[in-house]
Amino acid sequence: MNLLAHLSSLKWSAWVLLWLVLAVPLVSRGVMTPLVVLGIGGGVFLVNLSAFLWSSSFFRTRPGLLVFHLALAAFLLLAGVGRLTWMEGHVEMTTGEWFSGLLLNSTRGLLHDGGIEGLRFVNDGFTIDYGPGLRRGPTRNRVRWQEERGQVVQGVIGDDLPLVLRHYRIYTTANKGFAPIFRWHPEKGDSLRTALHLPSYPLFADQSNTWTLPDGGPTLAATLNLEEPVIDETKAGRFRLPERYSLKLAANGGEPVVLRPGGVLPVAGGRLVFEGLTSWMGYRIHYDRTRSWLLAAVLMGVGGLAWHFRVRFALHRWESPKVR
Amino acid sequence: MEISREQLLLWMGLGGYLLAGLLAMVGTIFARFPVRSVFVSMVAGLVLHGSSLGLRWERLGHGPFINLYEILSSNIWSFTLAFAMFYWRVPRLRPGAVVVLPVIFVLMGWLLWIHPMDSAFPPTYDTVWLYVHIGLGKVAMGVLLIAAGVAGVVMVRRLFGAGRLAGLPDDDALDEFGYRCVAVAFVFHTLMLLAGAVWAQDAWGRYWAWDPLETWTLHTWLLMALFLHLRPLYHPPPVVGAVAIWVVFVAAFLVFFGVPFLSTAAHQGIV
Repeated sequence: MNLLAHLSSLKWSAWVLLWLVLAVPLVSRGVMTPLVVLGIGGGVFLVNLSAFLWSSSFFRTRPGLLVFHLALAAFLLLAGVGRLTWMEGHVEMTTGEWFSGLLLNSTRGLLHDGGIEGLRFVNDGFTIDYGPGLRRGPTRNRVRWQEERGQVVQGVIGDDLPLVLRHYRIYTTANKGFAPIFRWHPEKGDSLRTALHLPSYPLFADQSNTWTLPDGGPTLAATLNLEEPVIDETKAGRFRLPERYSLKLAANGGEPVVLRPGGVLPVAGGRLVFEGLTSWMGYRIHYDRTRSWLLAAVLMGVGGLAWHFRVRFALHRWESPKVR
Repeated sequence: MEISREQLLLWMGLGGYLLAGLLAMVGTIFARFPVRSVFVSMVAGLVLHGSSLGLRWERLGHGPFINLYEILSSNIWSFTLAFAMFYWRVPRLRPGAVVVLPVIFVLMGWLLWIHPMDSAFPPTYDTVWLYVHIGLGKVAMGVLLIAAGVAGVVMVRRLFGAGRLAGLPDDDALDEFGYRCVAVAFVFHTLMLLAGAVWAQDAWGRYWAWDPLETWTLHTWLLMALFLHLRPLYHPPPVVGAVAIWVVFVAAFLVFFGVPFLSTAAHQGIV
């Protein structure tokens, strides 16, 4: 009984809040992790609240405050579940490419099993308007996706409008650029069509990248030479593929060759055909099944708190002394 | 140097606020508080300053909340609006203008040092949730300013003698009023965080990322929660409550006007 009385003390709430006040700033500085800060604070809060609810009738006359604290407890539990089942990742997709299920990078909770490999969507190309000074305007990315019943649907996403598939939210990013397309004809075996993603444009003026062809193929270094201004910095424009361009290509550190679309580079083990230029888009993929529940918990909590203050403040006028 | 109509209206508006503050101070010193003149000056300032903000909004095609100049200017307007409504609705606390308006003067001085450069509106800001988020934040900060003004009266009395600002209610009543303001600010601050999270989810693909502004805004929320807990727990005397309100206000003020301007965008680096 003494333990219960001790655990239910309101002083614990103040200590929890003091801990959070001191520790939360350390999270953004990377000194402590959110898990440690919120884990300790949330854990003590839940124990304190449970003990208080068990041992005190305080909340019986304050239903709004009870709703707020229960909603806060629900929020913390949901946030914990959310972190366990959460996922965030990035992928770059060439125009015309279907999502393969492979991500460039991702972080995910221990219990995440959303089945991202089963997502079927294709990047059908995009437009981005630019204002003077390369001010990025709206992104409009055409996509098609396969619904659960197999039906293929098309639409436009971009900026704050994601494609939502099986609770995965797929957002376009500011990361996008040009992608030279090649067909690799090895001396033995089938030919292979591949694309090289050059650095994000117009962020990087140097449009160079290297890659290695599969199955022991050569390592290639490519530099795109834009022979016309694609986006004029001084006026409004739009991201588009250039009409005049060439590609400087070097295999295995050898002498570079300038190719135009249709050009061929013979290399050891086969030949590489430069077919032309397309674009690629970088996507951010986010998964959190608790989002809507978190929103509901916060709304319930705020509603309870507003109700509580409304009732308490209506009991006495503020001018009356000793009304705390 | 040619002065635009936008700037002229701004300066005239700030002149209105300045006049209101000076009238309040002189009236307090001579114990004849000019209630109507202070209110009319404030309202005139709001109309003129509001017209300047409206012209800028019309010219740029987006609201005044992207760069430091715009955020400062629009907050001076919203703070004064919040205080003018309080002044109108709570007659007994009107002399508190001598504490609140000087706080706004500090912002006005800061504003005049900043170049009124035009801002660009990032595509991720094109959502109604941005307006909800900013609106709720302005309400929370406006109410907190009033709490700080009331708490300031308690502190002035402690520092310069209980006879100062004698026309206002006693310290216990002011303490209760300040507490209620912080409670209301806490509700709006929570809603502001919620609206920001909804916006961030679709603007940047996540609802929370511990960026400096998010972290320090949560910190302010926690400070308010701590204040709301400590008061019923320890029943501190009014002067301690007043100091605590100022701690909360200064923290919120630094978050509102400090953290976003470590970069040129409100949420650093994320546009």
